[in-house]
This record gives sequence, structure tokens and C-alpha cells, in this order.
Amino acid sequence: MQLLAASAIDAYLPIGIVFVMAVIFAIVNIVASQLLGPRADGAVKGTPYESGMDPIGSARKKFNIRFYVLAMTFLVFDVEIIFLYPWAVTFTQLEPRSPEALLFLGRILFFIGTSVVAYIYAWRKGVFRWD
Amino acid sequence: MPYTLSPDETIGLDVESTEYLKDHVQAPDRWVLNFGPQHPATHTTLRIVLELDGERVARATPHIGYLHSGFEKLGEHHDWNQWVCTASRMDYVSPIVNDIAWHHAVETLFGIDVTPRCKVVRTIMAEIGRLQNHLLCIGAAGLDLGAFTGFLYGFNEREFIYDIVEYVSGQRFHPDWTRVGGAWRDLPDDDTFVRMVRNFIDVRLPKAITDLETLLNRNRIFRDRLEGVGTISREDAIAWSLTGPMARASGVRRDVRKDEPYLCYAPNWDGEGADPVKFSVAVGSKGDCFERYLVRMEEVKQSAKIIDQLIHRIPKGSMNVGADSKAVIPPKGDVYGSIEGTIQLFELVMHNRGWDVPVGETYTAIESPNGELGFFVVGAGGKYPWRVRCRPPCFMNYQCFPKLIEGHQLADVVAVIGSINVIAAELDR
Amino acid sequence: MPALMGLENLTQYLPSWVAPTPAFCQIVTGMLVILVMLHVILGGCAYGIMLERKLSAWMQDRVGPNRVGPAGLLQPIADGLKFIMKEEYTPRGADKVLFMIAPTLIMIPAMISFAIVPWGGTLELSQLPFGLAKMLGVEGITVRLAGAVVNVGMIYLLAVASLGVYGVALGGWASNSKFSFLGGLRASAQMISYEIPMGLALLCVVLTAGTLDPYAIIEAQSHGNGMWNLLQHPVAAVLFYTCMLAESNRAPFDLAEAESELVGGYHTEYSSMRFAMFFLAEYFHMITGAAFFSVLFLGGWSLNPFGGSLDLPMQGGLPIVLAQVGVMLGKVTFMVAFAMAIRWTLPRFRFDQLMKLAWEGMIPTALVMLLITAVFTYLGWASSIWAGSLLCVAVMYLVGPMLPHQKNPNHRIGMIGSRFSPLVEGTGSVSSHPVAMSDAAIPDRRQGLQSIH
Repeated sequence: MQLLAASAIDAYLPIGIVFVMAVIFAIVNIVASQLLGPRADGAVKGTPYESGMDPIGSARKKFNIRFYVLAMTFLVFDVEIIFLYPWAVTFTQLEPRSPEALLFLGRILFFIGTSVVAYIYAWRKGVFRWD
Repeated sequence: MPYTLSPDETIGLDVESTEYLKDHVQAPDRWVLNFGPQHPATHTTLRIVLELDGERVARATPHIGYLHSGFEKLGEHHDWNQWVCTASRMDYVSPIVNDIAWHHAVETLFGIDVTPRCKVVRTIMAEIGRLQNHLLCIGAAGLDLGAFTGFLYGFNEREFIYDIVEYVSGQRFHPDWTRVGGAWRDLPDDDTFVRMVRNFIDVRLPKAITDLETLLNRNRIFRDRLEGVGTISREDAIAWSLTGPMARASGVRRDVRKDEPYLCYAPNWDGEGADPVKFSVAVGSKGDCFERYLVRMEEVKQSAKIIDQLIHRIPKGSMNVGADSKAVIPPKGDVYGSIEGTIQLFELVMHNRGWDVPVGETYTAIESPNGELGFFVVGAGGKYPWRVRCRPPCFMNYQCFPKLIEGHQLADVVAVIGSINVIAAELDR
Repeated sequence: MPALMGLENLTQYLPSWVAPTPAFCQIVTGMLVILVMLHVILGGCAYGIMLERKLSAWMQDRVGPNRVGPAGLLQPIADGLKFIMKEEYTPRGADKVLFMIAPTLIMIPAMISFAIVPWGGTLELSQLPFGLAKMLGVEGITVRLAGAVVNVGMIYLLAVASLGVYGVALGGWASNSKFSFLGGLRASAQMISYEIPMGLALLCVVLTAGTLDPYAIIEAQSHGNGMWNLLQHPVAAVLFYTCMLAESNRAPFDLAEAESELVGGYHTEYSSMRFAMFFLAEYFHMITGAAFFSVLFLGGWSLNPFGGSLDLPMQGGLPIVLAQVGVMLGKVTFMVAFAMAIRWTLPRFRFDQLMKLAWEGMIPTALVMLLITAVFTYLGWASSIWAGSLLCVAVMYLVGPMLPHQKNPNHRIGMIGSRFSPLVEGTGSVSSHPVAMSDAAIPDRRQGLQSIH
């Protein structure tokens, strides 16, 4: 009986091990310093740092919408890039200058083009301007 | 008794009051942020209350006084020589310039003209103080933007300046060197002094300037961060009474060394028709942070030029004015060997005696590295000044900070502070 | 080997499901590699900090740490002990749970991303010394010296790299400090922005190599007519390296923790080991980034930039594989030291300049480079793809001025409530000084300096 067969999912086993090791490393270190470090508290000590003065107002205020718009633009691109990877692997295996390759190229150019339109729109709208 | 400072009594003086916040827009998307006094980039203890809209500074309110030490009041209780120790501690980046400025004012009040030898050495030391200040400020322009290496390239050379200052005055950092009518001691050895200064001017400084210019002048990030930031026009610079590199970077042609010359910057300084030292005044036009950096860089070179002219012309003779001026403590030989010397010593050191001070007032300024450093001194005939008032260049330069920064970004705050070269001890006194 | 006679049939003691199949050997090797490399990298992080301090000291005419142990070599250990012995402190008003898990959230992605790096080539188990292969029954089996051999390695890299932003954003938000929050926001925007050019630059490499497997990418660079990708894709290499610096928050992209503005940025409020986690993660990111740069652009363990037969073989016995690991580690050290030299030379960007560089500079360049690579691949000119980089630079120079450039951002913006830069109705922005508003090229400033005599 072979539990560890040559299936694709088994190859990820070491990654799982690293993940567990990373979690243990992080937790052990933090717990160790919790146990070993001194503890003291006070009214002034607990103040969030604001250059030595009492903080003025809350730190959790509304912030600029630009970050949100930027994150949306990022999502558009990130998802697009992920789709490009399988295409890139397949595309290189095709015969150069064959009609099939031309079709692949045309498709992906159209696909990138749609994102570029959104990109240019965002650019003209000033999403990337921070003033 | 207006109030007492005992802790259990309310003194009705709330220094941490947030009254000024009423002026700020209390919109939900505005942040009010304390920038300082405990902040790595506000050179010592400055406090700026920033009202931020995102990354943009909508309003900046500088608060001063976190380093207030009552220097001016102390001046009324220290005699004309003692207060130089306090003056040294004002602009601690180039302390020797404060010494020279203070005693220049006092000597103007007394009507004393110091000896040519003293003038030359004081001029050299004043220019070395300028180098000391500018080397720090130029480096800090990079440090505030995150380029640490340039800062140390400038800072390293200051060690050699400390050596020279130590050789001249006996103390590395706060020299307390000048006295009424001269200095507390003559140069220990002229040749050694000349050799040390020559080594600094000819070997160390050119290398440091080359290093800094190579690192910063054509650095794209450095220029993008500084060009067009913190701009102030020529008219505004005059209206806000800016002086020094701040004003000159905006195109104001003002330099006390040229306009109201003193020491070796004045013609006929040795009484034998000597020409004033030759140098150019760097004047910019844009008035932004990068222009200030360039002006300082140029002034470093000009300072080296001035020292180069004077270093081989140190006249022989006495450092202090003669005993007949009744302003200086005579040499030990005279004290023990002549009755005039003994009397003169006792006149100056006895508690109920002192200088023969005219009743009058003077405002005398010199060109310190940051601008016009002037002392307003009122003499009432006694051992102590009746009033001492300092015009620190930082105070005047720093007051236009909100004008420079409002509308710019948070990251520009440090760049602008660095280019003003605020020194809190001098600002708050 | 008479001494090992009795151990010949070692496998008979093992449970029956542990069969020495190639897949099983690979997984066991992977775990061993991970175990070793994790410690190597952790030590590398500790000594990377030391190396950085020494390097900066040399650059700045100083001595650097030299007190703890011989030549200061025990400094990292002293630092680590001190971190553990320090007080953990949580500011008032902080979100306690998020505040605590944010350091782990940045540490874990940093640690797991190196799992797929191939540190060495293929090891022929038959050539193991002492007849080990026969003892274990693994003759004829070859394994790769990588933590995990997954055929979608590059996608894994991108996926894990994206995760790092959580720790930074949460750490900044949970602290209840304005400096932290600003730093967290900046870091989030920065990390997501630089992920796009990184992905696109990576895609150029994938298009040339035709695979997502890092091992195969190295193979494509070191054998046959393959050159190092640094020579084939110089533009992509520069883009990738820049993004790597930005992703690990290294100078000149360290404005999330810009000490001159934001004190410590997102880790202002952190102390003790929690702070050390952020610190270690930065070095972890840098080391893994350098490792990936070596794999993708420097041909991994390849020694000959121009390909050909004069090179380390892809597979062999233990000595060859160890030599490969050594070459690889040497390249990683070099790239890490290069990043440090950059950090101690350049000032940092301002936030708008950073965003401008990513969105208006690097992403268009990467897109153009990708299109050129695709077209070259279609035309079958893949072997002369280096010309594509020249073409890309030429295109960017031609097209660049036509792009909708924003005005010089170094000018005042009118703000409501401002005294010296007030918002003027209808104009949107106003400046008190004409120079600041001008977009004209700034003339040589040195000639602008006048002199009076």
C-alpha cells in the first residue's frame, strides 16, 4: 500500500510542513517573550505614541477614498495576470507563426486590451494622482 | 505674588491646552497630528500640530518653547565675560559663532577695536563655524529624506573642526572662547594651528564636498523630493524678515558680511589699509528646498576660500587689546611685575568692581551660518548688562514654516524643517 | 563497506507503506531541504542584520558592531536574546487580538514563500556515499533539491507574496496610533501596487521559458542556447528587482516605516518579539526575493551567463549538488548585499512619487515588455529576445512623453482651512508662487546661482 503516491497534491506536503513550522516559530517566539519579558503598565505608558503628546482625536477616522479605488484597480490587474500565466505556458508550446498561435495571440491581446482600456480610464480619472 | 508653582495649587496655566484646536477644521476626514516634540525628524524638540487631509498638510501650527531656558534673563545676572558660556549653548551646531557674535556686540558697546591678530583668528573661526553648521545641515537634508550615508559624510568632517576648536579654545564642543577685547588665551602655536586648518581646508573638506555633491546633486530622488517644495518668493522672504541662506535662496541679496562689514570683512581692518577678504555671496532664485541646499553648498566653498586667504596672514602681536583699555585681564607677568597690572587685575575680578561700561545700548549683528545673529545689549554702567536680547536667525526663519508647508505633503514637513535648519536651543533660548 | 554490512536491508524495518518510490524520496528530500534551509535562512536573517550594519559602517567610514564576541560576531544572538527579554506592550485602545496576530501574519507568508526555491539541481541517489543508496533501496532514483516540487511554482510565489500585506495593514490599523495607521495604509497601497509590475515581469520570463516550474526555468537558462534571463530580459530584471525591494519595504521604498516622517510606520507601537517579527520578515522577504531573482534572472546555480556546455551539470552526485547550492547561496548573498548598498545610498521616495513610479512608469513598461515578448514568441524569435528589451526602452522613450503625465506634484494644493494655501473657488488649486506651478523643465540649477561681489 502506498499512501504517498505520485499524485500532484502530495507535492504540496512540504509546503504544509513549512506552514506549520512558520506558525510554530511565530507563536513560540511571541509566547516566549510574553513569559520572559517584564510587565508594567500605567496611564501614560499606555498612551498611543504621538510624539510625546496626548493624542488629538481618534486614530480611526475616515481615510481617503483613493486607497479604495486603487485597491479595485489592483484587483482588476491581479486577476488578469493570474489568467495570463496558463496562457503563457500554453502559448510557448505552439508552433511559431501557426494560425493557432496567431489566434492565441489575438485573443490575449484582446484580453489585455480590455484591461488597458480600464487602466487608461483610471489614469485619466486621476486614480494614480495623490494630490 | 502672582502665582506659586507648588504642585498642589492650580496655577491656572494649562500649557497643554488644546484651545487652538478651535481654529482647525473639525471635519471627520481631517486628522490633527502632533508632529513633535518627541519625534526623530524634528531636530530636537519642536512641536508642530498638523492638520492633515490624507497626506496633505492643510494647516500647520508650530509650537515653540519646549527648550526654553531663559538665556536672555540669565544675561542680566552674568557679567560681560560669563554670558559667553550661555551664548555658546544657543546655536549648538556652530557654537563658536555665537561667542564671536556676543563679544562683537559687547565690544561695539564698549567701543573697543580688537587687535588685527584677534580679527583674523576670529574671522577664521567664524568661517570654520559656518562650515561646521553647513556640513551638518547639508548632510541632514539627505538624512531627513532617508539617505543616511550623506549625513555621515558631512558629519565625519566635523570631527576635524572639533579638533581645531579644541586646539584654539580648549573645549571641543562649547568653546566659550572669546572675551571682551580678545580671547581667553592666545593660539598655543601658530604653526600647528595653520597646519590643522590647512589640512582641513585642503585635504578633508574638498573630499567631503565631492562626496556629498556626487551623492546628492544629481540624485533623481533627492531632487524630486526637494525641487519646488517649500517655495518662498523674494518679496515674501523680505516681508517675513528671513535672513541667511533662507533669504539668499529666494534671491534676497543680503549678507551682513557685505552689507555691514565687521572683522576682516571690513576694509582697512588692520589699520594699515588692508583689503577686506574677497568672497562671493551665493544667491539663488527659486527659493525652494533644493535651492537652499545649493546655496549652503556654495557657501561652504566660499568659506573655504575666505579661510584660504587669511590663514597665512595671521599677524604677530597680541591677541588681546592693550591693558590701557581696561577691558582685559593682563598677562600674569604684568600682574606680578607691575603695579598697573595688579590694579587692572583687581579692577576686573573684584566683586564690587568691573568694567568701565558706557551707559547706552547697541544692536550689533554678524552673519551666522543661519542668518543674521544679532545681540541687543543695554549697558547701565554696572558689572552686568541691564538687558540682553538676542535676535536668533532660526526664530525668524522658522516663523514662516506654515507658509512653506501648507498645501504640501506630510513627507515634505521633514524636508522643509531640514532646509530651514531650525535649532531649537537658539529658537527658544 | 564491511562496517555497514549489517545495515544492508535497512528498509525491512520500515512500515510497509514507506516504499522508496521517486515521489516519496522527493517528499522526504523536500522536508530535509526545508529543515536545513529554514535554519540557514533564519541564521541568514540574523546575520543579514549584522551584515547590513557592517556594510553600512564600511560605506560610512565607521567600524560597525564589534563589541559582542570576536569581531562582533555574537551581536545577532545578543540582539535576539534582548528582543525576547523585552516587555510586550499593547497601547490603550488597540485591538488586542489583531495587534497580537499581525506579526504572525507577516511572518508566515514570509517564511512559506521560500519553500519552492530550488537550491540545487537533481541529485542522483545512486551516487550517495557509503553505499547509502543500496541500503535504502533508492538506486536509480533522482530527486530535486527543492522544498516542494510543484509545477505551478511561479503562481505560488505570486499568491504568497500577496499575503504579506495583511500583517502590515492589520498591524497598522490595530495599533490605534496615527503614525501606525498612516504607515499601514501606505504599505498596503505600496505592496499591492508593486505586485502588478512584478507579476508582469515574471510573465515575460515565463513566456520565454514556457514553464511555471522554477527548476525548468533554471534549466532553460543554463543549457542549450539559453542565456541568463538577465541578458535576455534586462528590462524585466530591473522591474522585478525594483518590485522585490518595494515588496520587502526596503529603501528607497521604505516609506511605510519612514523613520523621519512616521517614526516607525506600522510597527511604531510594537515592542519585543512582536517587533522582531516585522524586522525578521523584512529580511526574510529580502532573502527569498534575492533567491527568486537568482532563479529567474541569474540562472540559479548556473555559472556561465551565456549558456553552453561550460557549466555545472544539472544533475549529479552529492559534490556537484553541494557546489550548486554554494553557487546559489553566493548569488543570493550578492543580491542581498546589493539591496543593502542601495538602501544606504538612496533617499526614499515620497508617497505620490512611489505611486507614480509604479502606476505610470513600471506598469506601462511591463505591459509593453510583455506584448513585445508575446509577439517575439509568436514570430519564433525567442532566442533574440534581448532585442525586445531594447525595443521596449525605445518604445517607452517615444510613447512616454505622449502619456497623460500629471503636473509636477511638488506644488501647493489649495486646502480648506489653510491660511497660506487656501482653496480658491473655481480653480481647484492655487499656488502663491508661479515657479511651483510651472511644468516647464527646470533649468540647470547651478547656473541659477548668481553672485554679488
